[in-house]
Amino acid sequence: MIQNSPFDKFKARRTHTQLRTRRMQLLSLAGVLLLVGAVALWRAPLSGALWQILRPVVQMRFGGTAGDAQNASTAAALADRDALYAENLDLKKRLGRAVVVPRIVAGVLLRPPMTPYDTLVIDAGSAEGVTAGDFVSAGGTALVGTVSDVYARSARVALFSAPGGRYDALLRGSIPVTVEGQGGGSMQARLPSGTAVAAGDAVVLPGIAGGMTATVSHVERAESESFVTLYMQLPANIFTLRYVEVWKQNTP
Amino acid sequence: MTQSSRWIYAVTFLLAATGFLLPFWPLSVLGILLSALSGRWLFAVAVGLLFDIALGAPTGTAHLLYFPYTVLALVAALARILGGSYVLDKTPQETL
Repeated sequence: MIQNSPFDKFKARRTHTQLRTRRMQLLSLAGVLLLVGAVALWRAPLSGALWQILRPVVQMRFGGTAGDAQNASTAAALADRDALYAENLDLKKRLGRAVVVPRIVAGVLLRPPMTPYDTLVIDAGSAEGVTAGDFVSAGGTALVGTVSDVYARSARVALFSAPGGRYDALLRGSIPVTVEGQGGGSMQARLPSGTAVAAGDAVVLPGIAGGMTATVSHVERAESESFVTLYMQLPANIFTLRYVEVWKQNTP
Repeated sequence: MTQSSRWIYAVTFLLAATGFLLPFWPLSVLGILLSALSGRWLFAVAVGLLFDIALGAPTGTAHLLYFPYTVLALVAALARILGGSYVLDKTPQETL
């Protein structure tokens, strides 16, 4: 190659450098394409591995508190319960036993520990149609007590957990059990030791409308005893109740 | 690596990461765009791939993109190369 000017050598070197740069760019592009292809091929395992690494950060950022998780879980369980209850009513209706319980919503004026003996004072009375013996629920089918005294614009509700109170119920919908109030939202019952029962079992009232009155919180078994003692809790926290529903029927 | 490169890498990655953690995806897009448009296209593609691996393919019509963040980085890099020939270095000064 004949060099006509002193700049030709520089130009030739520049071209060589440009070529090298271009080659590097092409190689990079090929590398990127290979990388994208590899990612497309192994996207799922790579994603799994990446989330394994990111999990602590994401949990810290979006995990929320245990209370939030509990609330979400409760909301889901409540939605599930509502759906099942609606289905239950529908099935009863199809079978010719429509269960329509008129309800009166009432606000809770006084609750434990402001009232003694596990009682509530609600802001609905005879003027609203409340009568003595009506069942009171904390919402849905979570029954918590019965109306004991009715006044003109208010009423007193004796909770199922009131000390000395006794009522018949069904454990898991089939095992008859007599429940005794212990106070503070707690109840107790005794069953033969061979009975299959565990914490979390529901206690319901007999009758077509049913209604859950308690959940078993603890089962006490003694080796030498022929009975087991069940400790139960009302299905709602009586210390935070704000509204209740009065079921307009003496026997649900 | 020059000091400006370090700054660009740090700022764009922080933008993208902040967009992921807020979560506010336009910030992530901005981070990747800035990285690619500033000439760090390999870095932009790498970050885009990371996002695509983490977030998965989009849904609906955008599903066809499959790697939206990576595609965005590549398009931005292409835009820089094509646009750069018109806008940047129009009068390069050659020195002996």
